[in-house]
Amino acid sequence: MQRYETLFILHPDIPEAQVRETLDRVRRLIEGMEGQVTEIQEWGIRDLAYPINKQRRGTYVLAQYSAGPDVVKELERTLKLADDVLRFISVRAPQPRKANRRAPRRQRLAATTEESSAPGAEQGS
Amino acid sequence: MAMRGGRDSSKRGRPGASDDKGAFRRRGAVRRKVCRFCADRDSVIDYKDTRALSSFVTERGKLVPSRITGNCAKHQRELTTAIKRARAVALLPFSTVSA
Repeated sequence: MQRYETLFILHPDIPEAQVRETLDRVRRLIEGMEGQVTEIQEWGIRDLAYPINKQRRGTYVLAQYSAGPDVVKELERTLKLADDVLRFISVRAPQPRKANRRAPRRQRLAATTEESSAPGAEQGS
Repeated sequence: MAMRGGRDSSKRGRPGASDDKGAFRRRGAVRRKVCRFCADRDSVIDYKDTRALSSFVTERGKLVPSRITGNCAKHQRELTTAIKRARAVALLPFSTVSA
């Protein structure tokens, strides 16, 4: 399982109930294929940077989930067929950073050289 | 200074020769900019973060070269994909020139 996120833009004029329904459909699709929905975030109606399908605004929705690659494929197919979806993009979600990456590089290097020099001998350059 | 000799490997892996040329081309002290994303290791480049990305595009919506921003190659690459993704979903413009 891989973490993905799909951001899609819905037509601004569709009624609230239909938005709910679309979000529900997305959720059911992911969960129906053994994916796990982390969160479905609704950003609300925002101005588009350029018109899409003659629309200058759109409802942005971000769906974060973990699932297999087939789920993404199916979700994208569904979004492509849906009339109320202006645009979508799916990306692999950035991996959460490991804790040790947060230590500044200098400190990590210092720590490793100390360890290797303590037993003596082996020190490269 | 440290850069002149080109031996100081901590300052970007530029070959020594080009440093001298650089010193010749632009006289006066040139401060090597530090990549913002390297300086702040916790910062993540995200295509959804329009506000952060917009400081790396020109007013016309074009990508700002790393030569100007001082970003390192790795982060400039990440930035480029992020901006292109943002454009795809109309978070950023492809161009702001009105026809």
